[in-house]
Amino acid sequence: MTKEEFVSSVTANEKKLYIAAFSVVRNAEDAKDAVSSAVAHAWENLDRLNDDGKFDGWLLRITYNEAKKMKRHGGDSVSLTGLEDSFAYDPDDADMQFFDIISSAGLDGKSRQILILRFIYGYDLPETAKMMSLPLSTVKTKYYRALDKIKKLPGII
Amino acid sequence: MKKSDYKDIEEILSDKAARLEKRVGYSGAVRSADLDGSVNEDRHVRPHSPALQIAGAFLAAVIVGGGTFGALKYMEYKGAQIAANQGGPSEPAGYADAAEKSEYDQASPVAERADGFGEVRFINFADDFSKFRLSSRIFADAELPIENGYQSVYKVTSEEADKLGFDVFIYVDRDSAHHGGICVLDKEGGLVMDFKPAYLLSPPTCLLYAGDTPSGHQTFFFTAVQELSGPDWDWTNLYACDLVTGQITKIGSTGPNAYGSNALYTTGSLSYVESTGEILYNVYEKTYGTVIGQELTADNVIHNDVIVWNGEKYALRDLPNYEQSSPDPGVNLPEEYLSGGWLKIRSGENDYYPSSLSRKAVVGGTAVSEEFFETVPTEIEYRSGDELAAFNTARKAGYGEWRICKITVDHKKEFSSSAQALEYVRSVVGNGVESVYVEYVITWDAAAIRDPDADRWETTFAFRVINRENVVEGPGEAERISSYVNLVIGDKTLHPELISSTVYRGDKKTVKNYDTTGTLFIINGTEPVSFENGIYSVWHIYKATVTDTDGAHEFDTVEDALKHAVNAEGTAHVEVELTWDTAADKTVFVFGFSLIKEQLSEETTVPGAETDPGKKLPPQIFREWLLTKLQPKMTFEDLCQTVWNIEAGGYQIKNDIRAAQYQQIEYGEDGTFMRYGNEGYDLTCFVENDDAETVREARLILRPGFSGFELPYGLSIDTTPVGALEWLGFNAKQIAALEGRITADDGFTVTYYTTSVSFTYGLREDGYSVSMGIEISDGSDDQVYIEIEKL
Repeated sequence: MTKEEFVSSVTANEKKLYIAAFSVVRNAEDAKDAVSSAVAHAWENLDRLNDDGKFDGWLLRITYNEAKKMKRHGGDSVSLTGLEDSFAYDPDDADMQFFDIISSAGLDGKSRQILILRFIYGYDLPETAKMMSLPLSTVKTKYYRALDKIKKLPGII
Repeated sequence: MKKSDYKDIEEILSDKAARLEKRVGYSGAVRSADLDGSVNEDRHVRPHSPALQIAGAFLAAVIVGGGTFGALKYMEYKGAQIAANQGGPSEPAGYADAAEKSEYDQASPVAERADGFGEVRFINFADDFSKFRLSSRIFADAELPIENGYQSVYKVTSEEADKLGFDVFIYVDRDSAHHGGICVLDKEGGLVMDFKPAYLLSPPTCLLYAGDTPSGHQTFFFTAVQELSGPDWDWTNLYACDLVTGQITKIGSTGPNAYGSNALYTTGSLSYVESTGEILYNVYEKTYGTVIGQELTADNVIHNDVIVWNGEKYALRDLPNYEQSSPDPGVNLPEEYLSGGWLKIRSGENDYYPSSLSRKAVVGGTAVSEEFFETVPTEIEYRSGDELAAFNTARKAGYGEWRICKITVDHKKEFSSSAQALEYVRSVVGNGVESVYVEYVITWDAAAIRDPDADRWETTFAFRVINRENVVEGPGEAERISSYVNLVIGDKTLHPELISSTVYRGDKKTVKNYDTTGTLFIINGTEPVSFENGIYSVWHIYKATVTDTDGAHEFDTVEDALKHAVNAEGTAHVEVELTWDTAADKTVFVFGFSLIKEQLSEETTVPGAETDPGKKLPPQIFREWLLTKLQPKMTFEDLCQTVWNIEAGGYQIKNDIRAAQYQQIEYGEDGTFMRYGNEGYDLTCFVENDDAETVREARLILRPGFSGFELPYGLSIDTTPVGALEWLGFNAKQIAALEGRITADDGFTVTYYTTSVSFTYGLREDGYSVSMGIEISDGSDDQVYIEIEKL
């Protein structure tokens, strides 16, 4: 992957990465930090990525890890200002936002990643499996289990 | 459940995801404009995220540069541009500048700046140090996860400051208080000024003004957010820092941000007007409603002023109303800032870190108090050429304060000890369980191998020894020690061998030897954050003894002993006799550990490895052993219980398996994916540690012809493709279609043949997952693998 391709890919997915990070840290600034750190990590470790086709999933995974790491290490608390700066909730629908749903379902990290790749990125399951370097069967299993869990959430349907 | 049953929930999620993206008023996470929060006039940037700012510039830089080195160059350029305020607010993402900066990639010097105005160069550096392991890589623009949270350091330099012999660092200590500050080092490594007010949130937004200033001293100005309690919060102050005297004065304030029926938010920013040479201090205000996301006003500039020199100090030409009407909270008077600490760090050619820090509080040029701290270097934070800056923690008890020292690296020195620390740690967890341990950390850094011209430094020979000895004290309890030594050479980790312990209590002497084989193999360690630690410095070291093939050698210092031990052939046993007590009846501890110099290879059995082939075996032996475990009628669960004791917690064994792996796949930073295989099977194990749960999953892929397992559902590994398809629910017609002609959408007709079937069994803690793969071929060499799962 060339530098230009790297930047192009990051640019195309920046918002999605932010959303993924935000779903973990729930904090606009930390989410941005997580994305930024992930991008830096990705660039530094780009030679470890053998298949450019997996870049999106790889970067998403790193972003997730960075966000989790940030959360573990005590990132900033939710900031009203940060939220307003970078993320606009619809208060009438706040309890049903996308990552509120997947968070409420108590999904593991991979399942959440699958759902994000599927719904935020728009990849189908085979593409998601490729992105995550997982067997399609695993992706399917996690995907449908996740949907099962979500479907059982009160008030979801 | 059929897939159609999920349609409704998929539609809901799709809708939510679309709404989410649509509703994210996202202004860009990676954006060069974020580098310049000080001049961003379009929006407020909560000044807590220097990593973001730098990462934005970093991303920009990777386009134009060859990595970190280029990144630094670009930041240098970008900084200059910011200083000159040429870029304007809210540029598109930094990488959009790539094309026009291409010439900069040709190692051109700093871009042209406004006269009399210095460059601002941000350098973010970090490492992937984990708590118990010294990484060999130092690279720029990432985060530094270390104990107590994230820390980052930014170096801000200017040509003028450089001429004066100063290096300016902004550091961010993301501990629970989110503190940060600024320190200024001289070229000899002395800390000229350390600015870490207790009531400031970090990081400051910094604008370096290094031209001829009205005061006649090089000065930089910065804004920092002051955290207030009560109904007000985030009061942004403007400061001037005199690089000659180190004095910091407050120039102005934005006024408080207040909660209330309508939240008021104000922030300050600095900008430079090239045409007039003025430094502007702008204050913005926005009012929010009580509902999240409700903005009652747009950003309003409520104050716009110029920083001037009034003959005595810097001030705003026209004081903002807030300064006149709002009382200063009184906690950040300039004198108190100065008492934030003046540190003098001993520096010398071979000093890698100061053994003690003198912290002197100076008010009005007069020292009013002086304290001494013993220091424990923690992590290497920054390295540039021959210089190295490291965080030091001056810890008296509990978590201490982090300080920065600059270290001159002697490239000619072949081998140097960089740190020495002995700590007696008494930890109490929440339930009252107490543990006491000794922690000894020594890090050698063969700096000679570092290439100052490289854009990334690879340490080929650096290692850290961490020795922790857990001691249970108290009446009626025998002393217990369970120590380990991790010896990391490059990226190899050697395991501890023999630990001996001698504990003196007055005249009572207890000697114990401990075989640590197979125990306490800890790389990542445990998070100590839940502990209340009392950390005590060693009061006295009586002696250190190294026993090697030449016999016993006594040394006065641990450092000397370890230097000898490291240079000894083979294994050297080190014992240190010391005490933490200052009382007359001292409790003397002797702790020992062995340094093992052999470097592991894949073909080398780990020293002290047990004979259990399930642990620490070379890969070929592991494979042979695994095959012996594949007994007829063996279930997959039995196999997993054999190779991976899930009931006992697979993590320990997982590490051992990793030592024997011959093929490892790591994704991102998990490092938890292992795969073994031969022609007949492919065994994959992984552990996923997630916030929600820890998932250990083993997956065995059996290829056709492999036998030895009893498969569920009446299936056999020799099940034919047709049989597999039947089990999957395909009817005869469908199967025939798979083995017949398939017409693609484009009208091209291909004849496919089902050629083989393989099974994938996944054993999770919550049950099986079973799938089969069907390989079909169009008759050519290419095969298509279709994985079909029965849910």
